[in-house]
Amino acid sequence: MQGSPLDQDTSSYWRKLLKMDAPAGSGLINKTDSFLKILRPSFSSFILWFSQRYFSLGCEGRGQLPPPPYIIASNHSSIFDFPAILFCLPPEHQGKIVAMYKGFYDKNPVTRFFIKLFVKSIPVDLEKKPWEALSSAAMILKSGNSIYIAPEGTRSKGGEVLPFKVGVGTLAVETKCPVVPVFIKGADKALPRGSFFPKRASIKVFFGKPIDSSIFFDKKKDAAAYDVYKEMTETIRQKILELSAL
Amino acid sequence: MENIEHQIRESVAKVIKVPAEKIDPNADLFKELGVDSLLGVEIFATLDKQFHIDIPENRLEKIKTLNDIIAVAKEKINAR
Repeated sequence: MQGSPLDQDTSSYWRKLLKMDAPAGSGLINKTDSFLKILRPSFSSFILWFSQRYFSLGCEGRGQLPPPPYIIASNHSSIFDFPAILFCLPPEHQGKIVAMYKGFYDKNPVTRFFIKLFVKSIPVDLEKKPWEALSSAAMILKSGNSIYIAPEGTRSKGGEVLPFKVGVGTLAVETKCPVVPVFIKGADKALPRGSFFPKRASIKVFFGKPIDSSIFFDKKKDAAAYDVYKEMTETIRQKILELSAL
Repeated sequence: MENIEHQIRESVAKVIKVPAEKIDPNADLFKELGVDSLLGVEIFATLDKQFHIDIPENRLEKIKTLNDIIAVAKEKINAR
């Protein structure tokens, strides 16, 4: 009854759960998106304008960005991480990125409103049903848009890079989309966790060489899917740590 | 049926990398044994792969312990 030790590929259940055969779409993103679409460009431009004036923003390595769709994975130490990345993206990529955020923030309607106002986004229920958000993210990637994800799942303190959640590796391997590792330096000084007022600081965004996920997809033939997702996740974290040493 | 219980225990132990004899069948795998929600999915994917037990998405959230897994597995096997 039991499968042979060499036949460990468990990905068919994962693919069904993540609805990998579903057509391209926007999944969870649609629920509150209609009227915010009109306000978003102005609000988003204001945040980027403010960030540019208030902080010293720098970008390095963005020439390595592949054409969309791709997954940007970065360290996370401040709510200014995503605006800093958005600032560094070429204008033609800025409207084609959807951010994944901790579903916890949806509990507060004000926070939820401002997240949705600033960027197209998907809430992730880290505790119960993270596959729903991963499934939506996969549909978005299939539609040609990119995904931003902070795999630590929460903001770190003191600039350290916390262990990563495996969702980023799962999404990357199953969609075979390239992952762009990004390290953001200085955002924790500008607005660290627990602070409400931003301080003037220098923020620099380092883009790394895209990681080819399709190599990991093929590894599932001989291994449990979760182990491959975990290996992909660790590879991404390692690349981000390398960028942090620059 | 006792045999399937044993096999499921062994499979779960292998996935979560805990010795089979150390898994309390009533322990919450997620809270007490540190299984994250996606490793939980790998448990269900393994059951699907090894025993052809396909647990539907709407039941995943309610499964917390080894006994819950065994109960749903038996239910699926009996329904064949």
